[in-house]
Amino acid sequence: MMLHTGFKHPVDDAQRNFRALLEALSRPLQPRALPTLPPALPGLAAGTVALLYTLADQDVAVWLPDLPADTLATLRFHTGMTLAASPLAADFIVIPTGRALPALDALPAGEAEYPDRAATLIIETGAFHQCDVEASGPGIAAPLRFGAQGLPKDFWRQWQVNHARYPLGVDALLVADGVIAGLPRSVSVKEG
Amino acid sequence: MTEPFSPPSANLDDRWRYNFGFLDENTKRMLRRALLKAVAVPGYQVPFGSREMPLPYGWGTGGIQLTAAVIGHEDVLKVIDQGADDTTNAVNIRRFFARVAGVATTTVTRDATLIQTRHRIPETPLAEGQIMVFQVPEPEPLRTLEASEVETRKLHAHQEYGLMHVKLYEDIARYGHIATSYDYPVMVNRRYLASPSPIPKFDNPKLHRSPALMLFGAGREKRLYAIPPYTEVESLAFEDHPFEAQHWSQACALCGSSDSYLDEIIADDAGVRQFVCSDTDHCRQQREAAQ
Repeated sequence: MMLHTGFKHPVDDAQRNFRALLEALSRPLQPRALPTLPPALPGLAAGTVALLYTLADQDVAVWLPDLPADTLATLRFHTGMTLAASPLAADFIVIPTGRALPALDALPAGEAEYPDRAATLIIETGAFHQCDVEASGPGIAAPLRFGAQGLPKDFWRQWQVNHARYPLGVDALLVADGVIAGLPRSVSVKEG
Repeated sequence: MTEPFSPPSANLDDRWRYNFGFLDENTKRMLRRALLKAVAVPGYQVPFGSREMPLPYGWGTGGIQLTAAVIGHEDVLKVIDQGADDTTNAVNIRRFFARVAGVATTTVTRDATLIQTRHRIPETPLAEGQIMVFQVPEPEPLRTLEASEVETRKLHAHQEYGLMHVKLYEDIARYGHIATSYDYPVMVNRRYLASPSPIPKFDNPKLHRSPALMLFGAGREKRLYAIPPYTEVESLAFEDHPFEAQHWSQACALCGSSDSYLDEIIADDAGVRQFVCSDTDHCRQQREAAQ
């Protein structure tokens, strides 16, 4: 088993990545690069690893699919996070490239009195483009077009269902290698 | 006006060094995760584990914790107290972050990337990329009408805000107009009723579709919430009693500005009264432009 290195400057790197993340989520579907990337881990893109180093710790349960033991050991070593047995019990749900996405409407969506108790998805995709949907909502000055390669065909239809139960619902962070786009539940999309 | 960045190690003995930004990394991560949920559900109050800070509740502990969770070396920090950069609360919080984070500070609104505020929004229009951090004493707009947190949570869950409309209606019945002049309740993204913190209602229109990100922190009440950029923020009102901000018949005695928020001050022992801008940076800019 081999442990990989984490952030070179844990305090600064986490802060700078968090600011990019905060901007990404408050200006949804407007992609931005993460400013500092740690080394990628077997089975995970560098951007995904950066988000986990930035957000996860011993208070957080993360669901990961089957990944090499090195990857899990490294993540546990650097963050102290616990691994969730099922996506239904997770705070963060990581979907690496090519892995199946669980049905969005089955995931923790918060409670009417505590909508913040909802899962956050970290989904690895291919390159971002502008072909799939027209999006609007808080943080979007004028309706904008967005798309991402590699998302399941029915993803945007599922997203409409997710948005329809606002203020409940899951939030998603789309990761195209080192570039991220935020997709909070407040965003409504129209296909085509 | 702008103090340059100086690394904390340069002016502090090693024995007195704190983690960057005072808070430990676990606390910052907890705050950061809560902030992301707050942005995802604009106006909803997210509970967080408020920490003991080196100043008492009521002096901006909520705002300071949010600032500490987002601040970085590249930031330029401005802190205002009732619009002024030079009052006790503002000076001390600015000095606190210059010391524990070593960041550059400024009093010029357009130079700042991060603005912590107690009860004003600057007159200079905010820009994309800026973050406002509000110090909030009471995050629950319904608290004076319903004391129970269990009940107010239900009211928010059911979007049942009739109580607040009744309160505003009682103002009209008693005074002929809505007498609430600060902490004027707003609907955020047409879903959550929120407190804009005790800013004068003069500042409420600046919240609507602002290009800046607004973060609100209440340390004693352990709640934080957010208004993302370009979000609809509507001040509650009635069709026949539309929302109206304050206005003055006077202009600022120092700069002559007639469109800024004015404070009434006693100028001498004889009780001579003056109206001056509450936003000291705006007032200085106006005077410099006039010269």
